[in-house]
Amino acid sequence: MGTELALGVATAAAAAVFLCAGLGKLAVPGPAARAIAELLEFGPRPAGVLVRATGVLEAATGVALVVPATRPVGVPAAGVLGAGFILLGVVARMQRVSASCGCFGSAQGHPFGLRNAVYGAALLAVAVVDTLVPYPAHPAQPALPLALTAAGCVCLSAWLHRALIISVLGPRARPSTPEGVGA
Amino acid sequence: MSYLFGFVALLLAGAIVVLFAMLGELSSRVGPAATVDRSVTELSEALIGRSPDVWPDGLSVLGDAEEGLALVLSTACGSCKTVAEQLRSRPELASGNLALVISTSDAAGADQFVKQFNLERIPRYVDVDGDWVTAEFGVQVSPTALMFRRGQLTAALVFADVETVRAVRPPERQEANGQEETWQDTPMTTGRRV
Repeated sequence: MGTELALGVATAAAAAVFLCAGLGKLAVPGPAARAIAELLEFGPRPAGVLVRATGVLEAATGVALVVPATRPVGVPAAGVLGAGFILLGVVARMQRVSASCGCFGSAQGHPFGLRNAVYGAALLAVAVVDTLVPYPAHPAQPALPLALTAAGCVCLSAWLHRALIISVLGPRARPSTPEGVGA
Repeated sequence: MSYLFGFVALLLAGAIVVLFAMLGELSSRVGPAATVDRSVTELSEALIGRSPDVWPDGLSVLGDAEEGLALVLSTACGSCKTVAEQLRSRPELASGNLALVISTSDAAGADQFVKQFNLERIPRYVDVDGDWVTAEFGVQVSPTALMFRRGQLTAALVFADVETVRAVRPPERQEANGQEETWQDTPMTTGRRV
């Protein structure tokens, strides 16, 4: 039961990342397209098509990971995507890409680089563990991974857009004025 | 817990993700533009014409370039954090011969400032207590943009928006016919906000 729960949570977390990334790219493909255009020296149009295709693949992988019937497809797809992120992260680091990766549809964030490779390695690790540890044929709570993934998506999305939430719900910023050097 | 509940929850979560992504994009397009301060004021007390004998590590790009720009940012200044956020969110604003002079009371604070706003890629000099920039250029206000031509200070501008200050062209010295320096295509005069 413990192994099943741990595996379910890890898989749901990976699925939430894939879903947020995929839907984010489909909703706002511009930032990721700019990063891809800089990294692979593509034109804006092919870069946009590539980003949208990746978004569809990520979203489909996210769902496939947590639906028992589609796990045999979802797990290898997660591994391939994770490996791809490692490769792109390393190449971006070597080329010192300055653009934000736009992974979740936001132009803000760290530049495309090793951090993406680390995230890719984590997703690849989940896929490897999912491959090695057999998923129970009749899980006790079959819909639990779906619910966990949904919760993970909401939490991750709120975290990614925390600045927006704070700006809306938090106190109003005062107008900025020049200040003394070294103050 | 039925599959139906799980799929409905997933569908709602997906809708929230898309909504957040679109609101984030909308905010990045509309929000900052509505609140950004585009005023640029010339700093009259700056020592225009000064050229340091030795450039500190990180600022050598300014001494060698035909034209260079240094942004003086203080770790304790609210406007400077706005400027740093602009550099973080729009990396293209840091292109060209741009460097940072990070004024701080301690070096650790400068490191934290650089990491917080992902400024590692930009050449920079940590100026403890602002001593260097004050001694060399008479600048005691931040954020200030220092414009250089061949290592010589041609203008010092108090600003709050990087894009605006990057659009300002430095004054041309017209030494050949004895005229004083004039600003090119810039709607700005000394000590007056535009």
